Amino acid sequence: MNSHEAVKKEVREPLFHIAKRDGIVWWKSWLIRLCAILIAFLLCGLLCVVMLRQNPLKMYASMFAGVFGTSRRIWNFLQETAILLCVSLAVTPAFRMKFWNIGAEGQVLIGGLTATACMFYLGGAGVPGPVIILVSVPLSILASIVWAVIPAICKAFWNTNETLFTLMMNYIAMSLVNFFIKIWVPTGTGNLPPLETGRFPVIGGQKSILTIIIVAVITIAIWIYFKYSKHGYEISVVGESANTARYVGINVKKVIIRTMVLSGAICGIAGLIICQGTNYTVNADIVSNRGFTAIIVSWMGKFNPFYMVLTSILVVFLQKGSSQVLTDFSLTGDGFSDIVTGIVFFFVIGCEFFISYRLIMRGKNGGKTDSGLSFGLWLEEKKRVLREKRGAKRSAQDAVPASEAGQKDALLSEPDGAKESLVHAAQEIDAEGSDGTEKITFANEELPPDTAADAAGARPDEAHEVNGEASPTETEGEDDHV
Amino acid sequence: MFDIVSFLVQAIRLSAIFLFGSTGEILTEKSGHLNLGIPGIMCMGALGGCYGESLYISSLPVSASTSAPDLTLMNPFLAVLIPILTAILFAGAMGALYSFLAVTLRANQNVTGLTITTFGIGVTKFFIAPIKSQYQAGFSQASIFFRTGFPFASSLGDFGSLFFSYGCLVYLAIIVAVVASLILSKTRVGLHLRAVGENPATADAAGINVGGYRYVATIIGSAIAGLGGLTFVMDWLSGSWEYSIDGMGWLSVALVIFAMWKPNLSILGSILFAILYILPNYIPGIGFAARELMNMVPYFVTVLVLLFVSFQKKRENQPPASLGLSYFREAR
Repeated sequence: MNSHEAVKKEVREPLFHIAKRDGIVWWKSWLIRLCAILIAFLLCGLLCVVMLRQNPLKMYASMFAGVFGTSRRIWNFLQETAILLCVSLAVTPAFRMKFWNIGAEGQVLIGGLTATACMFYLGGAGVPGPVIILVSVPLSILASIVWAVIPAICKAFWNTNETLFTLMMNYIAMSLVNFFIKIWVPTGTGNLPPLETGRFPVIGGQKSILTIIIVAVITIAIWIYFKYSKHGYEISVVGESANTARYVGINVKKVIIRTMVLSGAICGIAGLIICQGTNYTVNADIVSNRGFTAIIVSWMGKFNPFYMVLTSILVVFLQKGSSQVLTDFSLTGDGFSDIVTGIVFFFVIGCEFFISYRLIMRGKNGGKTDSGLSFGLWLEEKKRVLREKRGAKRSAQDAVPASEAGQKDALLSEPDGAKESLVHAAQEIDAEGSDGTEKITFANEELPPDTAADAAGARPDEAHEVNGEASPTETEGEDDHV
Repeated sequence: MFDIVSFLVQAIRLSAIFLFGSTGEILTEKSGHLNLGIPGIMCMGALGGCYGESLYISSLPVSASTSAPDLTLMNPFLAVLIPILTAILFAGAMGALYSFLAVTLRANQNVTGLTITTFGIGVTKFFIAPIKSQYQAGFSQASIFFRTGFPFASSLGDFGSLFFSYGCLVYLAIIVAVVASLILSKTRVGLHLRAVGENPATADAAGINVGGYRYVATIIGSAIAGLGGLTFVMDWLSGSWEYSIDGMGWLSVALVIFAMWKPNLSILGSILFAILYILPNYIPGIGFAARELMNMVPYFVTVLVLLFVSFQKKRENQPPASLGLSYFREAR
């Protein structure tokens, strides 16, 4: 069955085709990501020259100064990173089971609203601070859990689209926050001034220290949960395939709801940190799109808590740094940090392709490109062969059949002997046709072979097996170069 | 006295924004792509429209008295057409970027869409300020052309103002929605598009170019959504600018569910959403807090529809089966 290898020389092969990688060494994948980020930064520098007419080196310097310039900025950077990481950790369990929760924004906001409500009402009633914290922590976490678990229950029982549901819940949460602020501050600016009682304790003179401790604990706990607990394993199985999970006896509904409870709880903690530990107030924009950014952070970090530390540092660096650029260059438009973040994200998103797939260029690997060859292309060749076969039957009656191995060698060494090889190929197909298998699928030219074969589902499998007989092992060694 | 006619006229004017956005998103979702970049794309459409208008205004001859472009020489037809084309171009380019990442590079659709939103809003915020401050007068003038209805509308009383008093973009939105609905349900192209969104593997086996359909549907859908941004700036805000446009974008995404992926239902849905959106302004003596609660209603209604659709389990009302999934022929 090596005949079509030879025929391929005849068919116009596309410049490259795409095949899935079996795996990639970890440092190579991170090298690719690093390259993508570097290219994105270079592009940002180029944009800086074109749009702002500024020296790009000055821009990079300004970004670094904006993040690491003073100790206050560094603390601020750490605080922001910890909060973003906390929200990212909250969305990750759900993403690992492919539950697309884009409602972290609302879940965090509800937690923060509850915390602020506790501070506002209990603080107003003269309840001492520590008691407020004791009340607000469970209440906020509970509120966020409720916000997260409603879509989860609907997903589990009625398969409601969770992406859209959680998105809507964000806006309901925002309206609720606006509603309460209007009640608390009926007149004037419409902003709730920072509340005094019930703030989280400040450790070591920096409010970010407590935040960092909390988030570090959550990071490690989540990592252990994923890596060593049965729950973590079940989440992974559900993410891979809900049907498989069902088959091995995992209660998928329970896993979905339980995971979203966990997600909601961490969102509640993030809300507490934002409202009770950092800003001491609440407004509809206080989460400032972290719920959405967290999705990208989590995805870029491969849903691994420790990688996510790196990605959240990157994201906060971009945001803080580019807002400093804005101040230093006294720009009017305030979208600059979004542009820079967007460009870097595009490159990081794009580079994932080169990590999970590889391109096989035309002509590379000699005649051994079978494993990456798409089935459709292969079918085209097959049809061609059959067409040739009919001609060959008439014209090449007296050709001497070569042994299969000898034929292959001849074809590989002689890529231009296409015509001759076609004749051989045709004969071989002819011979195979007599044992039935090939003929059933392909001999009938009226029926479009693509439709019949591909729709059957099992057919492509078979075809590839036949097609790539020897090739997977042959090409595997060359898979790794990028 | 509550003026029902002017209330409805305002609602229908506003509904065009939602209608463009949701029609565009429906086309995209029918191809299996949950494009969460719609808010950013609508922003880019608005930016593109403003940019095109500013190009046109700066090409006008300079008037002697004010040493600025002479706005009285504006050609109504060009002043409307050029922004429409540039809005389509800008938004379409964002759609192409999305498609490249999500179709060719098979990136995660949610992540790609959210990044498109971040990027689109950022670009718009960054560039709109200088354009707007320089050409504000021109934009106000151009928005009059955008808002001009049929000349005989005023002679027909309430009937005229309800049906013929709108600017061209409102009618365009309805036409686009009807055409999209017909294409989706009556033509071969629409059938193929739905097949691509439902089961790309089968569509591929039947010889449909899955990637091509997804590209074209996303780019056209984005271009249509971009017109929503243009409508927001030129019709609804009369040539000024505010940032609430991304909220409109998310409402458009919600409207897709509300309309159960049918552009013709989306016409009614968008009017309902618009009514809910502006209703607080028309209720006399409503408090600020109650107004905030009313802002919640469109989202709440959407959630109810989403739940209703999933309870019902009726096949034709469901989201496209492979919504949100990238397709790779060799992956099984």
